[in-house]
Amino acid sequence: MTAPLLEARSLRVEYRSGGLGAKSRRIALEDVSLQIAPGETLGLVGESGCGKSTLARALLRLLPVAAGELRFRGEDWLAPRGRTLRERRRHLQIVFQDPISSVDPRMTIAASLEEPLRAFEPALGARERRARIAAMLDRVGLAADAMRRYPHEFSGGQCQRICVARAMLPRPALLVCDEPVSSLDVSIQGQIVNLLADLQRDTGMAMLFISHNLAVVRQLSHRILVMRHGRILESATREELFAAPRHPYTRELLAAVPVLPRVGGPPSAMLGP
Amino acid sequence: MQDLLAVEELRVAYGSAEAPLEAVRGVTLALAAGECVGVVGESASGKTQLCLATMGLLGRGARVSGRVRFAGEDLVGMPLRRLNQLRGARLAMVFQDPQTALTPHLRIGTQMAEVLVVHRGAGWSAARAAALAMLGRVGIEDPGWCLERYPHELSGGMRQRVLIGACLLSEPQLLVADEPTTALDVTVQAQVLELLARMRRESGMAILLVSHDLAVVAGLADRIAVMYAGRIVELAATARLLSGPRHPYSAALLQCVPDIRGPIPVRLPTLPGQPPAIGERAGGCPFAPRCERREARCLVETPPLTADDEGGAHACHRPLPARAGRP
Repeated sequence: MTAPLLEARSLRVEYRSGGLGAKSRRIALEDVSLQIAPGETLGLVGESGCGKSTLARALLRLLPVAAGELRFRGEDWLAPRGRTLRERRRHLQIVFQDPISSVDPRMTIAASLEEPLRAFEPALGARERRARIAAMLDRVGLAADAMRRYPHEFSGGQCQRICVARAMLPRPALLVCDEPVSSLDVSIQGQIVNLLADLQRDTGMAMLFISHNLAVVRQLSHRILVMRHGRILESATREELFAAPRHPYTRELLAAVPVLPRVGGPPSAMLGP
Repeated sequence: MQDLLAVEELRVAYGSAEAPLEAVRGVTLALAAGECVGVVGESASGKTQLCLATMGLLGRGARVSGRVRFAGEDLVGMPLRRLNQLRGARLAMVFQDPQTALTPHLRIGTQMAEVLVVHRGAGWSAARAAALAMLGRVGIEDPGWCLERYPHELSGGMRQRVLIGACLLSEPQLLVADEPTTALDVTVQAQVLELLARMRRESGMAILLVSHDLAVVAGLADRIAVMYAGRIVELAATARLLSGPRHPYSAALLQCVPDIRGPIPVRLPTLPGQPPAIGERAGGCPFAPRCERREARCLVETPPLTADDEGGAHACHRPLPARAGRP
């Protein structure tokens, strides 16, 4: 087996509340261990409040880890601080749930997309930056004139493409997608899911794909983790998980998904691939 | 039999008269007593505006034309006094977000009992007793405890149950449910849908169930209306719509619903493009730019909603063939 790209061992994250003296601690993640191999998509499912987003943020060092180990490419990923931390972050990018609130409404798309390049590749000249942005916009399926426009001129699906472009520009080794299609219409969800699958195939990056939508996770993931109450209950390959879920909670989750009775199936001539 | 609800040529527009932004563009839809009709559509298809119009809840900025008859009375232009007698008593609505639909500073018991005090002239203690019993019926495990809670102390699923319970207290003839499970987790969603089905069986109320999720609607609705860009593009019995959609958009929507069973496709089926923005709805079929079956006239001539011989209706110049005629 190849060495994991990212590895977490017995991760614990706590949120503190209350004033001086009366501090109470809430455990958001407890004893979470996982590995993501290069090029792999790890799915993460669970209900709201189970700790999915907390885990994503902990893996990206966006919030403090109380205990446990985190290794990125074999190196201690909890140790870097300051400049080193910021530089390493280019390898771990994230796409959030709400695309509209994830881009600055006062900046043009070009200005938003320049930021990661300025931060992570300061040696690039203005012309090279533009060329990289133009190529990336084309790659995510947006017209070149998008550069001059502002976020409000785009629909939710287009905005998510912009967010994907921004995350992909620094050429990350791991892309974390935190409910990237949950706020999109059904007809648009497939477009973004297929785009992510294409990008992964082309770049060989790894993905952590978080969603409460089991069907979408099933489409993209090689392996899937099921979380509840801050713990991982089950870890299985996608085939195992859907064919033979082991944990009762996983079975409960699968049974709750409303299923469309497909009577004979709709005509297939309508849609392309 | 007279329809319980009859929406006729409903139009809802915002903005100036010169450049109106039409959210609903001529919707006609009827519900019989006890019937459940599902309305499916994507964002900005006009489904929430249809719900709000049905409840007489559109804001002052909305310009409404057409009729919304409830038990023979037109809700459009109805005096507020009369509207308030109907709403909450014979017509009730469940909203998407149970957090904002409950009053944060009132205990659950108080805001539920209020329904009966206001609409039925009940005394507070009798109303609270009825609220207590209702919390049990909607599946709250400890109704006595729940009655004394404030909304923020409850989970999303419990709040939605409370809201449905509050709606049902006055035994409405029509429940309008706008994305009632969208904010909830799948396991809770399954419970709430089960609850709606049971309450419908027990009380015989009609439900207008609105959702972006066909799978959610399909389990409960007798008929389904598919909306696109402010219009109903197809209306048919649920089984017929699922097995043999006539409108290309309905067919595409059906294919886009991802499944957790069956083989995993190499790529998810998608619909290219996106729905037209509210200000960009020119003439012709609004779906034409995304439709693979379009022909020249689709771009200029808006297809009317036409009844088919299977008891449904569709608005398409080149509908898919009826199921019976298909190999």
